[in-house]
Amino acid sequence: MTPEGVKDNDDLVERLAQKSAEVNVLRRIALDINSTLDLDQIYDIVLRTMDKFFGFHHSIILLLEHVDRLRVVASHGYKDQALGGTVAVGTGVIGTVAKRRRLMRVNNLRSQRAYFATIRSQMEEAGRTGELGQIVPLPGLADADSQIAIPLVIKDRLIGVFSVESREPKPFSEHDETLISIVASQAASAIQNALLYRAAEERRKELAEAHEGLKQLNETLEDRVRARTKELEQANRDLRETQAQLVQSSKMASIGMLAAGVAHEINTPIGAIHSNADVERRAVDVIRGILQDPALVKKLGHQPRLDRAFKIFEDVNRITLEATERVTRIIQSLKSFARLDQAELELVDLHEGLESTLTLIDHLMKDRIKVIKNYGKLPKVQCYASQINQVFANVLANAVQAIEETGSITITTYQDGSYVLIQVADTGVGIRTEHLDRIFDPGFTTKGVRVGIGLGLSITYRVIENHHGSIHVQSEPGKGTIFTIRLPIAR
Amino acid sequence: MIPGKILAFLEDEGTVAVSGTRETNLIPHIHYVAGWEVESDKRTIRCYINQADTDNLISSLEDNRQFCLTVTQVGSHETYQFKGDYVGSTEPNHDDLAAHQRIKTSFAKAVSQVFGFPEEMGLAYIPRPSLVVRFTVREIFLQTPGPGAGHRLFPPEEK
Amino acid sequence: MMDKAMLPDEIKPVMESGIPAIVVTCSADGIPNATIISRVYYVDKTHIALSFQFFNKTIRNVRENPHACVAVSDLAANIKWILDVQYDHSETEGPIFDEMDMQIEAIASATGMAGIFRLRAADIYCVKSFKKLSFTSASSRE
Repeated sequence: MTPEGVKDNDDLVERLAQKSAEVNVLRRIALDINSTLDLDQIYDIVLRTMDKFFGFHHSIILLLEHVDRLRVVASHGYKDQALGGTVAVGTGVIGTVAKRRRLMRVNNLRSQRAYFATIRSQMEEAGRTGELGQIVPLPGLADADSQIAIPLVIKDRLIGVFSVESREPKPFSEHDETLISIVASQAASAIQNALLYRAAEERRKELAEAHEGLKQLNETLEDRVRARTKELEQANRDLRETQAQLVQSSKMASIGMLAAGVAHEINTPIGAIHSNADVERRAVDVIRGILQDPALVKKLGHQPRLDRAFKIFEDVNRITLEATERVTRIIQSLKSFARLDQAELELVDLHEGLESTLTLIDHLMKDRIKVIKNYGKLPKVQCYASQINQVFANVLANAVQAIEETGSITITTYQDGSYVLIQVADTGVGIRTEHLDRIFDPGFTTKGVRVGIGLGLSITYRVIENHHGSIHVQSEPGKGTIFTIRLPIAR
Repeated sequence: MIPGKILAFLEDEGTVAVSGTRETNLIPHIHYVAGWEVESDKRTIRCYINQADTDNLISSLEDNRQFCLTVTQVGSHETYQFKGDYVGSTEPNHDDLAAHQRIKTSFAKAVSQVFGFPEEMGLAYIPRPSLVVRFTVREIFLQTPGPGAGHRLFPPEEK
Repeated sequence: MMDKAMLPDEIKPVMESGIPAIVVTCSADGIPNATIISRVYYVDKTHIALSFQFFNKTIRNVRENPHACVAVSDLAANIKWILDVQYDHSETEGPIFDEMDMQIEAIASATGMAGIFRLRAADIYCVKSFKKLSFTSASSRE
């Protein structure tokens, strides 16, 4: 072989080796970028390999952000990395490639830019600035002399642009164009897959978060519904209590006025009856004294009918006097119970209130229920007397109603430090355990619709609470009930 | 007469030039120019041509006397075309060679600055002239890219 | 039928190099015109193309007299190519037109000149003959 032949051979071998190396690099790129779904890794593999093996020192990948704009998502070899920079579709080399979806290889960019700049300044000097558009700063090298930009297309859909630039006088060749096209084509697929994967992952996360949110909302909702229901129930109870109190207060006010009126109207005639009965008794005593004169007795003889008449008169007179005294006591109790003259906080003798209350309900207990009083030494208690009497009335009335046939009610009072305690124990039917928590609830009743509306004890509870006291109940079905009221001596 | 502003351009600013002729059958030819100088009448221009660019030159000029010279400044693109009538040709003298050297150096520097090529490349682009073609300027056109490109500057265009 | 010369592949990168090219044309009344242009486009082995953006003297001349002479330079290789060409036809669509149009659009849009530069046509020329010459000839070595 001639020396030229040897040289040709050597050239051929060298070119083959180079081609083989290129193919290996391209194969490696394809394997590496398709083995990952991480976008940043894909960008890194493409850009670094282009630099390391093919000498493309400045490269950018842009993705289509909107139909009219691309954004730099990865760059290599730029000082400020150009990341985040945007290019309008149709502007500059990259924008034109995106618009036309065709590869572009441009050399001598500096000279071309200078040529256009010359024309621009000529036009400005000629006063034709109005015809000129703005010079748009674009990501990339300001002094690039060569550029290859290639659209990244998947199934006719543009996803971005891959651009390579150089400042060197040596322009990009057709061979450079071929290498970049091959890599861009692989990169387009890998990027598209990664984007789809990322979108799917984001969607999955969104759904999971939404699901979790719904779950929490559901739980919260249930809690909130429960809490709200409780609030509403409590509000309802409060409302009914308030209503009941209002009704009760109104009733009590009416009753009080009625009582006052009745007491006033009855007092006078009862007083008259009592006084007349007393006068009658004294008059009869005078008549009896006159009839006991020995001369009159000898003259009249034994008169059994007269003796009987005097006996009947004495009995009736006695009953009349007792009755009027009883009516007077009832009126007094009524007045005391209503305590219309005491609508303010006063020091009150609780035993007085208990007694007047017992008088008023005496007719309910007569011959059936025995009242046992264990009154201790109690100081006067600062309270609203009418309200406390109402409490006594409610508790005692409940005790009476609890005793079906015969039984007893024991009232015990005593001082415990700065408090007084009033205990009302009955031998009635008792309260079932499951009802004990609810007996102070407005509307709760065990008596039946016609008997009560279940507000008495709730009002009792509210009154005691307002007096900063407490009321406690112990009961056992069949064995009776004990109500214990505890009141502070001074508020 | 060549206007003063354009004279100044030819003397100080133009960095490279090219010329053209045409044969009898109107087939045009390119002749690279290795420099130029304006004669004292301020109307005749001496163009320096290297031997390699003389094909069809003299025969064309002697046939129809038509000659055009386009001078440009590398970088700014300021360009003028001079069209005129062939006067004669001669060998370059000392002053011609000095002018050639000046233009060659200026070109090499400009090309290096604008294109990034080493100055030696620019110097090689403008070889030593072997012939001086003289022509009188009949028309001058602005060829700088832009809105005025193509306008005749001398004699002024009728409005 | 016109003789066509076959351009070698090595001329392609020279045309793309970005060194301005020269075009000399001649009007029908015999006045030559020398222009410096930014680029000559390689179409195929027997054709080149020049961009027609503005209706200038060159465009007018070749429509009167189709003959033109085009020169491109390879500074790095110290070579110039002189092509004798003949205007053949104009194209307003197709791959050559698109490529020219794209190039112009890319630079014009980046320099705020998008509305000003518009490719009207790609003028296609047949290559009749060409010469490959060195800048430095033996007789003029310094």
